[in-house]
Amino acid sequence: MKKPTHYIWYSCQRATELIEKKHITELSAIESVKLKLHLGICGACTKYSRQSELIEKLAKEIAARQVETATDLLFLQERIIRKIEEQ
Amino acid sequence: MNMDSANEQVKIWVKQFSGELYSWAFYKTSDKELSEDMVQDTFVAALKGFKAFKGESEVKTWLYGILKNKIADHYRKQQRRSTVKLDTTSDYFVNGHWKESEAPKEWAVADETHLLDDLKFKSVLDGCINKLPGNWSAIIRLKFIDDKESKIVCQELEITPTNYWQIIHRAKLQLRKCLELNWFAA
Repeated sequence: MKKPTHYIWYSCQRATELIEKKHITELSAIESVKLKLHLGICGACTKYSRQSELIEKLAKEIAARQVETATDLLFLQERIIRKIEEQ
Repeated sequence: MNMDSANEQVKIWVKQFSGELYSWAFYKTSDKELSEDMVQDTFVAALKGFKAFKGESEVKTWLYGILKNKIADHYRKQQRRSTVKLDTTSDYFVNGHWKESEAPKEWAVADETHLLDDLKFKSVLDGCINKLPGNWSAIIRLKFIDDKESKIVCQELEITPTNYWQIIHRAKLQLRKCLELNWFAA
């Protein structure tokens, strides 16, 4: 690994970190440019980026299909309220 | 204040706070049933201690305090199993570069939009999420399943935003690899 290139090129570790950061918050202009440069030459990280995107999409879709979390909470609340009335 | 009005008051708190108390308990324990039981016990304790609560602190803080004690008790009784291996970034990278064995491979995805209709795939994905260490799977669940904003997740879990996306990064590395091994390369 050549040290001086660090100023221009992200390592794969850093690049994948920023791919994740980007899902959560906006990147700075410099981060965004450096990430694009890295992805332009790095096949492994480009695959990571696509796969990460797919995982995000899948997880969100699962969440959307999981209406049961809301009804679960209602059941829990009813259960607690019954318990309180028994006291 | 008589018992009936204490009952009524606690019931209102159940509606108001059980959801977030449950999320907190689940984050701490990664155990659905245990979390439900602890939240229930919290409100029962709140009812019993109702007179002692003088409204000097906020209700929410008081309830969280009761729950935190219950969680601490639980861990004191049963030492946390720490057998789950936490992947670190050094499992994937050497000097910042992908390890040869860990570099992402091409995934053959014929139909992205219908992947989840495939029950076999769905169970592989669920399995991979469940295999994440407790805190990480709780974060993944809070992030996606409850669709919480990252700011709120950070507050609830008492972590910094930087910490948050670094945890997501590590969880994603592990999740990605698990899917590749068990589905896309299988």
